[in-house]
Amino acid sequence: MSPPDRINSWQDRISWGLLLISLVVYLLPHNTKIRIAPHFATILLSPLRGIAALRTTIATINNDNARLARLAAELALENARLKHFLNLPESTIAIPANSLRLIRARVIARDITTLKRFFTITRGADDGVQIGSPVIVPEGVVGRVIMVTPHQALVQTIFEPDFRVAVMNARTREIALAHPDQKEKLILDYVNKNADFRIGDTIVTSGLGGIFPKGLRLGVVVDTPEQPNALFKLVYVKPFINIMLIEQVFVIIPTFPLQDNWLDNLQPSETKIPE
Amino acid sequence: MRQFFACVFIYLLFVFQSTLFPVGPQFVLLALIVFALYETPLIATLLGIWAGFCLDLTTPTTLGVQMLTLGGIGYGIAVVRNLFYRNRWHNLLFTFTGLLLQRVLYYFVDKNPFNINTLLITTILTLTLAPFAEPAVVALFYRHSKK
Repeated sequence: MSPPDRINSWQDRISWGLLLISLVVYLLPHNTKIRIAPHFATILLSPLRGIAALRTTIATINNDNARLARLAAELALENARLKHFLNLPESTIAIPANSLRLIRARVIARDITTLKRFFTITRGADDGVQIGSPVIVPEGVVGRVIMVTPHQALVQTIFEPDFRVAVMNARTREIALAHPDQKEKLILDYVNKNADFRIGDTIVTSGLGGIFPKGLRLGVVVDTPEQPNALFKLVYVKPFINIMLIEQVFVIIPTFPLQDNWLDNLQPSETKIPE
Repeated sequence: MRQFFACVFIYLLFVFQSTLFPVGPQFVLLALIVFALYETPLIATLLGIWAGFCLDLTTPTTLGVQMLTLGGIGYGIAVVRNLFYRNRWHNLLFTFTGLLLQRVLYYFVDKNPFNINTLLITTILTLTLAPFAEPAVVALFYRHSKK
């Protein structure tokens, strides 16, 4: 068959039609995709859960991992309680220990194209995970859940360009809004021009967004370049976490419904400064 | 029937790739290229879209990108393969072009640039395995084929 004949064959027309359908799927609105995908993901990604479970079973250290993870969670809560007792001004850890529940989850799938921005974990709606549930590791904030199926959830990490989180300087209590840049750092928005941000300051979540509890460690200030004509101060933060090394995470299951607050995870164009 | 098993095979490779080798060879792409060399354009497109759909499910926010890319790669190879005499090294060319197309398209629709290290590792490993992909897939699916 010569090339012109081939292009006109019925097979090619159907092929082009299928590619067109793929294009339409890509052009679907973001929310529609998030709504559609879980139905297929539940079925198609279930072997991933199975394999993860099998690997865990084969590895005899599973029990040790569980014990150590439980211990780490208990220590984190105890640490929060002790810091509270230290009477720090507006304590950096202000999570009411009895209002949150931590569950451990394994990372079971990543895709090469979005390696540092999304991953799938082994806990889902049946375990109490909700859309918006914060995901953390002992080093700091990892991200938040953006899609939930009964047995797994998709996590949007702090390196995803749409990610926003309300933060504060642990030393000076200045608040800001953090979002990722393209060099695996975070940039703080709406930092007062005269705010006191120094290299080495620890940045923690401020709790203003209603999604992330107050006091979760996020990163450390690494640069505050001078910009004489800018309205706000530019602050670069290096996150504490190394996203490539994360195998297990903790999902924070709040005992109260998550608020759909204005500050966390808004697109830049929608973000407004409160009066 | 063979096409059905090809779908299952691609799905198993997807599970294998996503679970064990998030940074590693693109097994799904390698298999798709070989299938595209032996199947009709329609089947190659369907297999490509299926492979892309599986990969897209791990990042639903960009659902459709991999479907479009891999569907296009499958169809393109199935059409192009008859236009010239094919040598074994052409598989390398197809693989490289496929990887390039995948990355470039993803770069345009996505907001973040790729991590150059992971990109290099993936590309090198995929190209290394490319010459072995065809004999392996042919042994599994086209042993009795006259092609």
